[in-house]
Amino acid sequence: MSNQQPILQLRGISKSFGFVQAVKNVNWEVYPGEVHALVGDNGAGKSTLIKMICGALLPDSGEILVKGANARIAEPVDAFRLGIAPVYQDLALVEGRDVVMNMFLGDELTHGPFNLFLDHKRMAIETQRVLDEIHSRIPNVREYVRRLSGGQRQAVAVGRALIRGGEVIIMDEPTAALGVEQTREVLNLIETLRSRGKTVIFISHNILQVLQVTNRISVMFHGEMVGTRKTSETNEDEIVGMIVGTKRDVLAAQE
Amino acid sequence: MANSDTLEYRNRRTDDAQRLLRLALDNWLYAATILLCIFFAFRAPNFLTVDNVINTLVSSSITGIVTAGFTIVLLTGTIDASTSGITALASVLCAVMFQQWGVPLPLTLLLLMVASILMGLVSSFLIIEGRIYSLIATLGSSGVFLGLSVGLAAGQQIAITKPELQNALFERPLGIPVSIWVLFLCYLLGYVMLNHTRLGAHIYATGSNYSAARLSGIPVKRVIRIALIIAATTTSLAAVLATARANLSLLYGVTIGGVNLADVFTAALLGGISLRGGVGKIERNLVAVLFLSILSNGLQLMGTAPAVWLVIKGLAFVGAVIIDAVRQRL
Amino acid sequence: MLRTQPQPLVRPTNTPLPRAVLKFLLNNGLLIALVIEIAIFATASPEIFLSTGNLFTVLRISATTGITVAFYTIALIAGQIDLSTAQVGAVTAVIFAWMFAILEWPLELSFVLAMAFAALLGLINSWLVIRVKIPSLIATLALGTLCYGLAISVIQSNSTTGLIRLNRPPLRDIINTEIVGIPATVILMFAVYTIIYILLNHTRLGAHLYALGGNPQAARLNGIQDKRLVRFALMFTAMSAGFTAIMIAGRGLSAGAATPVGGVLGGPLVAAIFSGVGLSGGSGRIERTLIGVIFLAVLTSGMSILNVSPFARSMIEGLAFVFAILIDSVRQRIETR
Repeated sequence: MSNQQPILQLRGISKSFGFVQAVKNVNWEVYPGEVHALVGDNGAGKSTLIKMICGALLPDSGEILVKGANARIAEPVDAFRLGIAPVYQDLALVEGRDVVMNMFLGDELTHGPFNLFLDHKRMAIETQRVLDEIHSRIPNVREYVRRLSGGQRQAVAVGRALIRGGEVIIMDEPTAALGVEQTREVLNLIETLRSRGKTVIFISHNILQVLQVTNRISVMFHGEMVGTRKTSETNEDEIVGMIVGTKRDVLAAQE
Repeated sequence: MANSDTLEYRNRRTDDAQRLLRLALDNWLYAATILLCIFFAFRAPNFLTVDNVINTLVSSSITGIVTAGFTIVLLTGTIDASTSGITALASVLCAVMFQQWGVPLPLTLLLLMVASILMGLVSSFLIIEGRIYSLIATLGSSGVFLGLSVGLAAGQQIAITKPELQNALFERPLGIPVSIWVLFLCYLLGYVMLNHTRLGAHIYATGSNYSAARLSGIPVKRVIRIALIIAATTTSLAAVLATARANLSLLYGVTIGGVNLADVFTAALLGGISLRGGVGKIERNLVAVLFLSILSNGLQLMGTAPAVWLVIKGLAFVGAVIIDAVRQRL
Repeated sequence: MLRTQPQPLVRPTNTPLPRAVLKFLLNNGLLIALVIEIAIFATASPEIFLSTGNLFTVLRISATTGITVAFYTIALIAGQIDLSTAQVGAVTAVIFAWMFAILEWPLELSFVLAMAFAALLGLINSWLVIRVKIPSLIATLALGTLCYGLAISVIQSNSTTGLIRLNRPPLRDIINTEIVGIPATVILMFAVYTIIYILLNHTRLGAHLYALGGNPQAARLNGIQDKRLVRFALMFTAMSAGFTAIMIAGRGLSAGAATPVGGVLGGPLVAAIFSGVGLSGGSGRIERTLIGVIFLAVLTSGMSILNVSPFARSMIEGLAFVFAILIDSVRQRIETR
């Protein structure tokens, strides 16, 4: 996998808030078609790093390359345009609107003179197509989001990422607030995305889930990227050790 | 609307400039009040006479008393817009009971307090049981109170010919008019209640984080209910004072009872009560009320047109709101 | 409703019949109430209430408040509460009257300048909301106080009666123009509601307004231009308030600071809430607003035909409002269940 060109590459990314350096000189590669976990303790800098990739924050220094080309991501829209589609932890859904309008939130399809009018029909068809593609069980695309279950909402948010042309889907703690059944739905969803050739960045606290669905695992500690392991070549102990920082020095010596 | 910058981390550097700014924002009102007094002492004739000082205090008493209760409600994170309805109903009730039914004055006042409690309960029922956003719920209850007052007074202003009410107002225990006593008493009680009782602690807790307060066993609904009853009571009290002064019942739309929601808001915001609840000090409100009163009085003495005062009041409100917003971002 | 799924696998909510009925009643309660209301007034006073003259009276009352309420609905959907409409209207009408009646400027010029002034006030409101980040409720209350002061200043420096007379000829005729027997203001109102209906339901702008009101953060993260939308909503609310106030002033031939629009339920906020537009943003339907406006107009005209005492009238209005907000709160609770 490493001889491929990375779909997303970070070089020397740093970010501080006041005196706190949240992200320190991070280099990181994500390859196309893989499910890549980003793990670390609370405050390790995962969220900050992800926000910089999604355009919600600007890095202080360093560069982000998408498919080998230098990218400037200043706004969430810039990230969408580059095929990076975040699925936020709170999912950023409008509960009082239906599934279709949430899928196309901010990027609605139009038709008619001067493209003035919404194309409700085509949006509904597209929504259904994408939901079918990810094997989602939402019976009615005109249902209000507030009536959907947690797993269904996750599907809507992921569906939106796909409709936006997302190549790299970033899932921020998608299972954190879900029950057993719904968690399984989300893990299946990740599996489906991989089978469609999408790249998934999976942020999680749950090591077992990470070991179950990912190809590779990267660990952050105190704002630094301490290392990346192939899932098939590592185990729970090693990852936990990296998260709490005990294996840090060993790793530094290796790299 | 939800917080607009949840995703942008704010730079929380507490350097000296910012500390200074915060100090200025917290205390500018005291400085401004003193500077205003100095300015008017030189420029406005008769500003520093005993009569005028008492006048200023008396004229600030009505808005001041209403603001005290309003502040307590605001501290719980609730907005009470029923001021005009309560003022009208309390005034009309006072006139009807005292003048037309011949109820003795102490009993009239007692019954008015009972009526205030009922009015507070109506608003709190809509907010708590109806789960309606406080501003709208109180707008609704205000409408009902206004309707009742118009009906009770049969669309008329009731003139009060029995002298006891006004005489009571014109008493001067220790040489100080009754309304000033009431004003200071309200703030004293409010101060003690907010700072030295469990209820006060609960009011601040409810306002600053409703769900956390609820989860830690604070009876948040009861706190809000009590706050609304307190506000209804102080508003009624102010209405009685206004009625006594005019010897006429106030009638909404004919004579605005000297209390208006915007005035109360301005005073509360100038005094640093945050609109989001849980932040603010009641004693500062007293200073804000005095500040506005002094400004109005001084301009009057200097002979400026009343309309100028209205514009300045509007500017003060806008300014207070902007200051509140700036302080919240620090 | 459009269902592209051929056969639903599981029905999302297995609604039992009584609840379905309840939901229907809650969703169409206002329309049902309107029918009942008309039936009551029609039986009480068939010959006057059901006359064509009264129909036009009702429509004219609706048109007077209705245009502002329509734009107000947009603002509420976008999550903005504007408490300055009465005062913005007053100051706009007063400034219009000053230019038109005292400076004797041409009607068109006075009108355009007055509307531009109203737009400016809306811009200031949106500046306070967007840049200074003050909740719209408070920002507009503050600006409203200022506008009231301005209106009084202009009046007092030009008149001793508290009103500026507006008896230059062309104005009233224009306001009272009829097109094929229907008052122009009524046609204008229906046009406004039609356009806003299309705007809210069939354009991106409408979708974005709903999204912004429903979840501002989600809207922003998905690239919706929130600031532009807030500016749009508050500017048009202010302009419609100014327009309505000029119309009322022109009809009454004078402009004052307390241009009354109606009783307790006069303000557009109350009328919109009455029509079931949620306060928290992101919900509300413009067609329901129209029904609410007409309901209130029927109430006003019916009560004056029946000579209802002012006491009962303000009580009925107040209770109707409280009832409406209670119904709305029940509906919201059922919808979220």
